[in-house]
Amino acid sequence: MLRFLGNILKCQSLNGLSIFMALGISLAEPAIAQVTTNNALPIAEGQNLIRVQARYLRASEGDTSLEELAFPIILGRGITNKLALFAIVPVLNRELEVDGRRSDNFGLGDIEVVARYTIFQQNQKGKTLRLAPLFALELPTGENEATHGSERLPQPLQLGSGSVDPSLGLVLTRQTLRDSFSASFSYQFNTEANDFEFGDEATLDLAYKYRVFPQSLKEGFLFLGLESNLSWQGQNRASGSIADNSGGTRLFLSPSAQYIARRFVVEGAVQVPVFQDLKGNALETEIQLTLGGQINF
Amino acid sequence: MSLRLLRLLPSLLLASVGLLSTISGAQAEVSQVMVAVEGMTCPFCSFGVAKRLKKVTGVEDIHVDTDLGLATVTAAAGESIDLPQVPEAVKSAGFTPGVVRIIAIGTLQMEEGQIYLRLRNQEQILRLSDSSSIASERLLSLMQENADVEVTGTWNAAGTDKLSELKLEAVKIL
Repeated sequence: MLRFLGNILKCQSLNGLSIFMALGISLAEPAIAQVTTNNALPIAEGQNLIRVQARYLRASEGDTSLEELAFPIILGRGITNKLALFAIVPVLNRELEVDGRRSDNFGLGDIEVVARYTIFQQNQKGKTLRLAPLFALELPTGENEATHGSERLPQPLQLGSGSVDPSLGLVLTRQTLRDSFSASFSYQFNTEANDFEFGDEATLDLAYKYRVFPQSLKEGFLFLGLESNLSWQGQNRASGSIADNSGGTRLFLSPSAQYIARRFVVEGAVQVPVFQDLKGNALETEIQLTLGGQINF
Repeated sequence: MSLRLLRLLPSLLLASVGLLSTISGAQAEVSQVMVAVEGMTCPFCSFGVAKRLKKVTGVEDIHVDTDLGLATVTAAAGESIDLPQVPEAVKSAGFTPGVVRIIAIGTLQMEEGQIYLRLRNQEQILRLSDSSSIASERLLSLMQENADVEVTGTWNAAGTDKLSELKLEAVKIL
């Protein structure tokens, strides 16, 4: 869910090189989501928002390294007081270096549309508890026929998966004027395209943030937070065979900061890997940085 | 004189003051509404509430206080806020409307021992309840004068007999 890039990927050959890579970018929904975690807070009927993030990721293994800069653009609208729709439009730039040889790929990734519906809410003065399921579809809008020379790039290096991938999720948020806690679980059913199928993905994100400023409430709040992102991905299948060096489990911790005003949000997070159990020689993520902003209208 | 005693004198009042026959001369409006917004926990939330309240008929000025969990809307000059739309706006923003306090201008009436406030240019009548804090003689006097009054109170959309009810807090003559 909400991953516009496959998680742990094993490339096949690229000009005779054997390349392994591991990537994972989880994308929090808008509506003042915590930086890397979804939340269930409402978007008013007819309210719109645009959220833009810049995400930098670096992963490596031996002589192979990967850098990715992603700019997910998120458009959101409250359809009713319970239903909100989002479109996530990722623009990606990937640079892969293997034994000193570099290749890159830039362009539009797979667009994802997300529906969130609040099924439970308990509101009191200055506090709210909400539960909302999510349904998402990742559409094959990204380039998936890119070549390097005369050879088609292996599927994991393509910007798009070429497949329509549905996701289901559930998000719980409890927020007060002082702090906020969110838990989000999602599962993405990846389907086959171009004779390749990414392994399914599951994520469990937890986030807590605390208002440190102002002590008396004014127009804007500054929150500091800590988020954890646990992800699992099944093994990929290429031409019907399981890719041995794919799939695995990873855990990240992410200190984060958010300034939330009435009409805008500014945010940042550093995602640090604390545990990576990857199959085979997949690239391990070293660090991921996120800076972003949001405008409400 | 208590309100209970007032209920014994409706006929006398109606005859002497003729309130119901002079409804057309009443001047009334809902000039301000303060609604508690339950579940509002951040500035982003308050933006959504304000956006919905802007669509309420008659509203000119909006102030949303995140700390107090309170939204206040004020009518434009000569306009009247459409009262039922206010809690609906809070709901459509995704929150739960709580206590609704209003300031309304109108004339007091009495029928079958019950005091009402009729709103200008509207069919809506507010039943005044729990007015023990207001001196009954004062209410009687205002009715007899058929004077325009400014009433402050807590509004209950689902009052008894499905009639809007206003828990009276203060009355002053205009």
